[in-house]
Amino acid sequence: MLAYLRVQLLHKIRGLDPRNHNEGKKQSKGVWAFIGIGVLMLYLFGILVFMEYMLFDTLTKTPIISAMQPEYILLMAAFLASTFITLIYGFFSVNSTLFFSQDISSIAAMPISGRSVLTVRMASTWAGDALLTLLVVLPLSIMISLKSGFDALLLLKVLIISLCVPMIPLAIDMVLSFLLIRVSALWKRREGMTVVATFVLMFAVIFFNLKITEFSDEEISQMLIKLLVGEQSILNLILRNYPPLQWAADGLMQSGLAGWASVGLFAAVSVGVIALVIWLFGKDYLNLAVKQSEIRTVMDKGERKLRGSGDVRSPRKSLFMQELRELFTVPAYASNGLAGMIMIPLMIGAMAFALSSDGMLGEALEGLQSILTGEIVYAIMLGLGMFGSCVSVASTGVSREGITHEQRKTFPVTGLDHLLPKLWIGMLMNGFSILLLAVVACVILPKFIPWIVMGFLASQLASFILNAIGLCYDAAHPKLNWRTEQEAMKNNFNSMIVFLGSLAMLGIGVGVVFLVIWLGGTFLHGLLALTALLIIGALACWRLLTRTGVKSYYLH
Amino acid sequence: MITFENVTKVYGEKRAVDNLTMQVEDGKVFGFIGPNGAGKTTTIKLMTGIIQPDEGRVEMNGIDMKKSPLEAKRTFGFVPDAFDMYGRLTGMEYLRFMGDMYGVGKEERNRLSEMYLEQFALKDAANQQIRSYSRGMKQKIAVIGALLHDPSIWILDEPMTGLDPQSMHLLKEQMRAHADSGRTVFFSTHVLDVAERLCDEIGIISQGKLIAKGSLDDLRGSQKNDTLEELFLELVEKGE
Ligand SMILES: Nc1ncnc2c1ncn2[C@@H]1O[C@H](COP(=O)(O)OP(=O)(O)OP(=O)(O)O)[C@@H](O)[C@H]1O
Ligand SMILES: [Mg+2]
Repeated sequence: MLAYLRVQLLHKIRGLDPRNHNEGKKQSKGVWAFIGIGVLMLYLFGILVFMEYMLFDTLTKTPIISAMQPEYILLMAAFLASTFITLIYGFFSVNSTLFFSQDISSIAAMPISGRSVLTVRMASTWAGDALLTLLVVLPLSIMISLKSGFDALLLLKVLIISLCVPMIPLAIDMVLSFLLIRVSALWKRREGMTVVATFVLMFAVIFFNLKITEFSDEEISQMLIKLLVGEQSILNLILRNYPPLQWAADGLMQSGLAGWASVGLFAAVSVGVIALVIWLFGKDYLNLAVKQSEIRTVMDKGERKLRGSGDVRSPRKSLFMQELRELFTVPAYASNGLAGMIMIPLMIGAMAFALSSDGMLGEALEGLQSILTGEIVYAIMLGLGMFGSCVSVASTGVSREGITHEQRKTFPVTGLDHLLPKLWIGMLMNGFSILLLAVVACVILPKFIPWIVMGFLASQLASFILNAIGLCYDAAHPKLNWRTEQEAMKNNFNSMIVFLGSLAMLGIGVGVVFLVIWLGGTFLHGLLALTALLIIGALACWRLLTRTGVKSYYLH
Repeated sequence: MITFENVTKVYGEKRAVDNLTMQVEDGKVFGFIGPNGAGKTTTIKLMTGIIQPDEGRVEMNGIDMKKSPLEAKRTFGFVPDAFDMYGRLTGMEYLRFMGDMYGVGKEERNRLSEMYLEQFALKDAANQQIRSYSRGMKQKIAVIGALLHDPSIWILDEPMTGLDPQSMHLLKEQMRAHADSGRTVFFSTHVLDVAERLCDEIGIISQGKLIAKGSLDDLRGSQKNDTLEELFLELVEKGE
């Protein structure tokens, strides 16, 4: 079992090393990629530290709160966030690691028990989440040490709690995942079922999340206080309803033996829960996982299907349909790609639902009407287009071809025939949520319709640039020799790099608008300048795609 | 007709294909043999346009692969060596996809796929996803996919792997018939018995260099009674 754990972790760590992603190339290139990604990671971490610092500073300087041990409140908020994030996103990784990894049949043939395999897989998932939690609380711990002196025992408590926090949510995810696989076994199209059920589950979680949040139109800082501080706060509400975190909180705040007892209780319950579910479900795990991978998906039996199965399609259309089908039916692709696509509408929908069930939707809409101007509407639409929530689709388009890439290069179709369908899919994914928002906006804010339409068009310009760059980047550095689809999409650095690129583009866009205003223009002038830049950028990207992109597609 | 002119492909230090010049005429079954790592797959990748040569040029039916890749690619059907792809398509969906890629009409596609599925005893599995296929079934669906557009050149990389005796027999007959109708078959293999009986011409490659080419009788030269296996071992040893 330890050997298997070692291999799993090694595989994970090697997968993180970008030098392993462009084999056969010069080593120096790999080193550059390594440095680049290091810098980007630092940048992200920097943002995190900055945000934590701002919160810490605000809370400690607000008189009423500074008396209430804000550092503990922030630590608990971090643990709470970690719990929720693990609960939601952990589900995808747990589900795909447990039931959609391809080494299952070879592992099942080895002399290793189902409980051991399950333990190892859960452990390697947990390691990632625990590391993330540690990274989040590290800056906080340092700030606390700076403010109130170094306290080794407190830091030890924080360490123990950080390590244990992901355990219970992961155990819940695991149970849900087992249930889902069992239930979906009843349907013929079980992979599609899995995808749909996953999203339903996510919606439920988000809705629940918002439901317990009582929205009000108070000031932001008051919102924050309400969220975190006091008997009536959300934090307290959750702590009361979820005892393990309450124990962790007690453990942090109380000193002496009582505190340690609470921390110990929290750790013991966390470890106990996950150990118990692994023990309970582990016995049957290999059976279930093998059955899951063994299914012969018979679509439709019979002679009928042998003839007349559809009209002739052009290569472009055919490749487009093939791509689309894959995106919707492969669970690893669907959960990574579609999540970004429906996340925003889902959250807005859930929020509206929560508001309307509190009878506050009308009020909120009126408030919205009074602050919005046409320019702001346009800017929001444009900003959504520049934000690459779905850019992982286009920026793994070539990588996802995997082993089929070579055969595809022998088809008598042009490079553009290969690339354009991928670009369209990327834009479709990105555009879906924007279009949905635009339609809703047209209904509730009819006086802004011209602005909304213009904003939508401009957002598609930005989306085109983003997707074209992502696709060209992936064509130049495809990761083709993957074995599981999970590797092709989720563990693909290309999508991360392009996503960070989209953040940079957003930053530049904001910068351009501010520059114009600083130079004496109006907000509208700034937006016009930005739009003009986007048009130029789109033309440049078309050139990039049709020349460099097409050429690099045939290089690998 | 396939033409190689001074074709070289270098990987790092390794000359995977080294100054290869040869021609495969119409109406012939050409067998390409050589030790592991000799450069067979690389040669096939060069002629199918998967990779570009560092030097020299490749022509398919007189069409330069570099200058007009699309026309050149229309001339051949290709069966790759490890067919482990498109696992989530059903057999029928894969055939439709291949038909679309080569612009095959609906009637033609239906007629040919039905015929080949019947011949290769794959009808029952046609509506199953390819990832549930056995190795041989995958090989067969790849063969059918390559034949749908009735190509004039047929290229196969180690096509015999995993086939049952009936399918192997059928495949050999198909290859023979293809050549007999005046078209070209180019395949690589390690099964020397098959090569010996099936091929009109044989090329032997070792360390990227073509060390012998011709009909079996040409290759035998003076040693009239040698099997291809004996010849192969001798020639490769001499080549090294
Ligand atoms: N992408 C690559 N990068 C580096 N070297 C390569 C690459 N592809 C092939 N080679 C090298 O080129 C040489 C020829 O390989 P090739 O695959 O053509 O052999 P082969 O004759 O098909 O062998 P086999 O009979 O085992 O299939 C080998 O030495 C191989 O290591
Ligand atoms: Mg080979």
